[in-house]
Amino acid sequence: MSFLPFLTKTTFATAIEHLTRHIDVYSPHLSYEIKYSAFDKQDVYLEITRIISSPAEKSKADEGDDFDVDIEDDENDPEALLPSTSPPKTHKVIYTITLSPIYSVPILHFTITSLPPLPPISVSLTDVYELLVPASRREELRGLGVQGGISQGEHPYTGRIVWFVHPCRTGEVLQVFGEDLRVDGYFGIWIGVYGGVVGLTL
Amino acid sequence: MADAVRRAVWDGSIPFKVMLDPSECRIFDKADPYYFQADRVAYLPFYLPRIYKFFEDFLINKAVATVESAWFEVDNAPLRWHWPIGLLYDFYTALDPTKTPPLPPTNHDRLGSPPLAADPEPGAAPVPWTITLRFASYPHDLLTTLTPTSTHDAFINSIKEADFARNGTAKAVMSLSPSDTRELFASLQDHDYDRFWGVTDKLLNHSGITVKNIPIRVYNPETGQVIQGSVPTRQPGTIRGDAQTLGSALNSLVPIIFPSKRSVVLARPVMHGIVLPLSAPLLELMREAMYPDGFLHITLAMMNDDNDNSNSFVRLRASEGDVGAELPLEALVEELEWVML
Repeated sequence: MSFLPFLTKTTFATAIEHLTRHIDVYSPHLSYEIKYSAFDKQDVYLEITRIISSPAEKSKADEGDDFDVDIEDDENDPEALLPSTSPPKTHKVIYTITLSPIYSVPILHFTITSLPPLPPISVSLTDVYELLVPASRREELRGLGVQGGISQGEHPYTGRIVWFVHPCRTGEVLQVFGEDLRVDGYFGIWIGVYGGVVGLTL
Repeated sequence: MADAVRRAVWDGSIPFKVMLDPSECRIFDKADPYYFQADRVAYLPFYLPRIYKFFEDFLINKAVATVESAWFEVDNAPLRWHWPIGLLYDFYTALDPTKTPPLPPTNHDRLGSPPLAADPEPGAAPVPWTITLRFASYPHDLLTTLTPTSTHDAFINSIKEADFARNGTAKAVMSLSPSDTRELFASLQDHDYDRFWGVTDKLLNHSGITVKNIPIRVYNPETGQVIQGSVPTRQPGTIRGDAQTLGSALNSLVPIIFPSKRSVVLARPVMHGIVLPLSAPLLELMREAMYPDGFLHITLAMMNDDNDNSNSFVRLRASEGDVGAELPLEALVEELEWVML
């Protein structure tokens, strides 16, 4: 399976390189790191970090409390420079994009951790939907599989428990793009399809 | 009997001894242990309700120590809910079936005389397998959250993944009727062989599809590394399209540990508690001896303590000229029956 939308280790690595170049230029709101398997340095994957505000905080901010000044001083976070109405950041989301050796397509894994002053409790599947999935996509995503299109599983490189978006139909979905799907723009399309449902946009 | 291997795999079981973590126990001396026999192909959450019930009256605070917050641990490692029990055992005990298991203590009934259990050889099967039931500090980063649907969800995801590996699509799973899909997991929970294989045979013999690849996961208990792959049923690059054997598959997936397709050099492949012959034809091995989730979950019994490098090299050279006779899969049955406890 070396033909798009299916990827080999090599084409995956190339596509990741294109993605990071794109992020460098167009998506400064995302910070990323290229990671390697502890056992095979040829085996790469990408980690992308986003700091988000919970919907509850967002709606509070929307109510327009002028005195609620965001005092968080994070130079790496361009949103911190926005006017005082930007809601306080509540969670850190770490996404990883790995190549599945079984499906031969990328898989999007992610973890969500709460930031102080929130207590460091683990998030539930309900929280995941609440925090990341756009309201318009929730119904559709919940209808898939045994408990919806998001599951918990083991990260293939770290062995840690993570959430992931089911990849089993990625091939079929991407085939729709036909000739438009190329290695250099692979992740532009893939993130459009699989990232958007869990809050990852370029 | 045509399905002798499947039967033997299905009937494999492991004796467990569950201890309640002392910090959870309201009795100073500690609670009685709970003994049970677990099916190798099953999952730990199937047994949790009865284990919880047994310890319920020993718990300091039942309001905090609920079934939902329970988890098991062995040697400081949380036992993954979503791995089949046979794999947990083979992996966490780094099982090497060639090692002699310790004799069970025989005088444990007599007061005052300590049990005579000898120190087990590393890799030898501990019987029963002692695990600890805990409630505090649920290790969320290492264990999936246990919900009424999480084990079912993980199982079906694995079934889909295996189906995709075999056929290049997950259509066989998708085309199962909703009642068949439910039956896959329900029959496993009920440990009902006929119902389970009634549906699974539809997946393996889906009309118009020939199996192209075989899903395998190889686990190294020493490093924790898990290598997964989808191995073609025929060896690529062979002129006659030779059928893939376990040896050729391991040689392509983990060449560093399996430099030879024919003889073991650095590790023995273990599944369902026995050493698998490298000559086993992979397709047949999958059809007859896969775990219910569709994968061959193979652990490695490392051989570093029983041979040094020069030996390995000799072994490897000797293997090159070796024309190994194909071992019929049925030969596994005898071994499987032997390890069934």
